[in-house]
Amino acid sequence: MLHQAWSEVRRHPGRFISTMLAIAISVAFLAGSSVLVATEAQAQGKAANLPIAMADLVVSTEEPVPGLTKVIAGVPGVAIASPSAASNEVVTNGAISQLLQLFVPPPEPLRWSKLTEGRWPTGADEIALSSAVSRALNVGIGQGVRVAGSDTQLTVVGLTDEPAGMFVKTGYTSIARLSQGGWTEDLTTEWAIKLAPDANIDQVLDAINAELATVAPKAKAELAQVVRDRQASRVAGELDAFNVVLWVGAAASVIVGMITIANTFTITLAQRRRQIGLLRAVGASAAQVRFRFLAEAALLGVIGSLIGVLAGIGIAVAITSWSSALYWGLALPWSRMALAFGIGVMVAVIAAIVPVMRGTKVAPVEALQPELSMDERKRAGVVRAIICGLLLVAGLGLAAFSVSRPDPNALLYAIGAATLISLGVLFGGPLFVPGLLRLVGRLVRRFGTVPLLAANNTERNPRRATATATALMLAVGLVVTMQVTTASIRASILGELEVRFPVDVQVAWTDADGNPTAVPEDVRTKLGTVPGVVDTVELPAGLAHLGSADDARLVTLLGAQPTVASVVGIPVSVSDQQVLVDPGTAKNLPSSIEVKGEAGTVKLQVVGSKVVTSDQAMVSAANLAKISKAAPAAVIWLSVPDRSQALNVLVGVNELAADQNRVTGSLVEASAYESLMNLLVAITTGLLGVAVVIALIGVSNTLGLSVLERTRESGLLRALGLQASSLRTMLTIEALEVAVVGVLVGTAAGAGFGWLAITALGRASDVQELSYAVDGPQTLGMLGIAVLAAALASYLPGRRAAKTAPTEALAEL
Amino acid sequence: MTATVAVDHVVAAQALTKVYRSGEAAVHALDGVDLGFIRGSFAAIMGPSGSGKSTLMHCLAGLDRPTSGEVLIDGRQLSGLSDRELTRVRRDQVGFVFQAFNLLPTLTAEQNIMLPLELSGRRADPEVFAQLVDSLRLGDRLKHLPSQLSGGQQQRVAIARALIGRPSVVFADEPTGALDSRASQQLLDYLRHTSQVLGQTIVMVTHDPNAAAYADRTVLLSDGRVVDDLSAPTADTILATMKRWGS
Ligand SMILES: Nc1ncnc2c1ncn2[C@@H]1O[C@H](COP(=O)(O)OP(=O)(O)OP(=O)(O)O)[C@@H](O)[C@H]1O
Ligand SMILES: [Mg+2]
Repeated sequence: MLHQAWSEVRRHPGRFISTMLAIAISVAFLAGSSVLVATEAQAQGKAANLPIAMADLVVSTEEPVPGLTKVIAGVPGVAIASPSAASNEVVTNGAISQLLQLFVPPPEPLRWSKLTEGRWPTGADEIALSSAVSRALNVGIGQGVRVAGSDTQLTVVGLTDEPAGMFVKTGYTSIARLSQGGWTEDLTTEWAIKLAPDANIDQVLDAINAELATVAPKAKAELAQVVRDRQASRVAGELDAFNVVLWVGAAASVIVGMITIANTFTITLAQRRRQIGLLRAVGASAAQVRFRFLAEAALLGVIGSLIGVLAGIGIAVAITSWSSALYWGLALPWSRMALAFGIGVMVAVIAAIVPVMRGTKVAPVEALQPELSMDERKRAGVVRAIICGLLLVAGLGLAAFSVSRPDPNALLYAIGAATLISLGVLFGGPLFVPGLLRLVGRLVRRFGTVPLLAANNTERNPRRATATATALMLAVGLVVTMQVTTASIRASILGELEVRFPVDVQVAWTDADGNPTAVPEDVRTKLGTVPGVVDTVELPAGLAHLGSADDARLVTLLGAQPTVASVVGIPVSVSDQQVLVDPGTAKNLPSSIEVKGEAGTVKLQVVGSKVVTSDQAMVSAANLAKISKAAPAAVIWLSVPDRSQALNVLVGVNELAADQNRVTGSLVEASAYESLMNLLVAITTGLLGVAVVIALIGVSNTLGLSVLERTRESGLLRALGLQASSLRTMLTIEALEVAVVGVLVGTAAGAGFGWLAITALGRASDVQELSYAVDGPQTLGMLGIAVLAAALASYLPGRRAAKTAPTEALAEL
Repeated sequence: MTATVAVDHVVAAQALTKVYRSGEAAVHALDGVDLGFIRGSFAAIMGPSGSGKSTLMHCLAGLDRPTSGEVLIDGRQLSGLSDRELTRVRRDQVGFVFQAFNLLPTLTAEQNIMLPLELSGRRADPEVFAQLVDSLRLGDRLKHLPSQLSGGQQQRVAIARALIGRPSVVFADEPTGALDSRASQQLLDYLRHTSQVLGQTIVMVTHDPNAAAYADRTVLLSDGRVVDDLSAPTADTILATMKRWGS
């Protein structure tokens, strides 16, 4: 039987390629993503721990122990014991700055990177940069960079080949420069150790630990691999949200793949009805026939999964080489890849079961009858309607429950509700998809003969069209749900950031006693010209006490300016009766309070606002003049809307301010949040996009198989004078009809689920009000691409149809 | 070029050959055929199975390209035409009736009949349509799908479709092959009627001497060559000639 299955696959590869493709892509996703995560995690593990990237053993100590380097180097079997020496510095060239981790290059076998140009730094005024950093800073060998916030100039003497890590960017410095900063070897807390060629790693490990036990009880030696793995798994653990998305994506692609595979099987089996009848006629039992087809499915699963695993590795290699993680080596998680392979085979067999059961119910006489009418006109069952209705009612009920009141588990309920509703919609597909297709068909038919033919074709196999559209629906639904959810969370968090830390950057000048003094004229004018700074506002300031004498609180009192609101990005208004304090302080103050300064005292109403920090308060400019004797323009607020400029702006402002304590603000924190959120949205869309791709392959499969079935019709149309291009157009329209229905329902469901998720999240955490947001360009773009891709999916089937010779209409059966 | 083509030949073949190759073996399905059909003629093509009848018809109708030689329709050479132009020739100048599977299953009888006109963006003359439908007795079947029609009705729909655009020539490959004798007779009567009354040129491939007898000319093929050409044959003369050529 297996042998028969094999010969069937070998003789009619075309019939099976589409099924195999669907399996291969699902498996490629599973295998590829696990290779990708493992490789990225390994790369992060090494990149975040460069000094031990090449080490055999690592010694670390909680407290520095003088002379320990010699002790470790003296242990037999240790070839090199290199103390890790590093420092963090921001270096600047013009308006561009980079935060670098600077290492002293260890002796050769421990070096993790190679020089591509120049030499390693030796002098105190020399530096080497990784090529990625040198490009970012736009400097080359022989040119200089400056240490931010100082006049120290360093000359670039070498370039290295390692990529910029996600978190760490590297450069190299010299012992001479570190020593200037007070570093000595005795301050080392970590050593990278390389063994002698013939040493036994476990013996040396024990020997070092035995030695350390007496000399430095707080130090210990470990296998470097263990330390690296620990780091890698910590990185992987930090990517938890990422992992969840990955699993959702994987599950989606498997389910969509399963629908596609089942659909393909149904069609191929329908095409082989005669063959099945013949088998039965020559005496095969129904069970034998079933087994035979399931064996075929298993074989397809094995081949498809094998291709998938290989393709997955290939894709992971491509992505990691693009992201540079491949520099640190490819990690192959065997168990996960085996799991992906197993899932692929299982999915193929499970997806085949129902079509095989249905398709093999063929009476022997059917082999002898002429071709059956391919069109099925089956009414969707009452049972389906009932089950589907129950699922929807339960799902909607649970959804209403989940958003009805605050509940820490609201999100879980919402997910359950969404699952029930999805099942209802997907299972109920045959109830409404044919209707929707008819509706679309009615619109399409008006445009002429070719659209008419296309619309007719789409409606002739409602079950098939429904399954194809359903797969797309599921995929698009998931993508839109995730997009809406992440877009809403992003909007909410960014909105929250805007409210919580409205002032991007603040520059404040004081004299030695802490009294506000005017910002020097040249600084004031130059601040506005720092690249990235869009707007500034100067605020007059003076010192004042809030409240009555004994518990009075000393604050910097700011005078409101008309342009404050536009610079901070949230509404700010202070009337002559009000004083703004930060919300935390406002809670502990009476509703109205005396604000007392050198010039006078005014009683004002307390209003909480996040524009001011806890050591500030804001009153109207008129009131400030009454309270403070002199109110110099001592505080300047800067608006930096493009947060990717954060580091450059901060370095630029710090240099002008010449004293770090004068510069504060939320810019760096906000920029970190923002880039993280953007990354999350991009990854989510990318991963779930795979599910859409699989669904589109389903569209292409269904069309391709229909084209095979309709060879005669295509020939007839060509004989009657339909141009080849019109035949292609017809198939494109067929693809678009199915795609539009799938995408529309998917989008509607996704938008609804996104709302549910956001509302439930809001109910689960009363921390903040989440606002519903749709990233219009992103979502529309994705939908546009899906529809466009569906049109593309008709390309191959269309080409095949157009190649049909007119004489094929007349060929014998 | 030895054969001369009469000016009033609607369809003509000159030194037509068609060679099918499969590996080393070559089948000469057509081996130097020279033929012409004048306007309004009703010709039958006969010959033993495998003699090249269908192949000849496909080449004449622009469904297939000959290996060498020339086909002319309304005096226009088909050999130099692009696929697009050839398609247009089929659409506008040629009508077909095949043995079976003539109709698109998703279109109603009426839509099937109108298809060639719709494809060329022409409007059907309502009078011509009404006459056609009436004389083919399809009036009450126009809204039916092909699967709801009998074999004879399906062939009549196919004939209506072949005639509605008033093509230069109608080709029919064993149009009665799947029909019983009564339905065959009616169909052949109608074909003869269109050629005699409407001046429609018809070329029909058939196995059946009785069917060929409806035509006013019978061309006999054997091994890809024209071996005999009878005018106004009866079933008996055809049978006799066929016997002579050993089939
Ligand atoms: N596509 C093809 N490939 C190879 N050989 C072919 C092909 N079509 C036809 N032939 C061969 O060409 C010859 C003529 O075939 P054709 O179909 O024209 O015969 P026919 O006279 O129509 O026969 P029948 O009466 O059985 O329909 C035959 O020998 C046939 O085997
Ligand atoms: Mg034939």
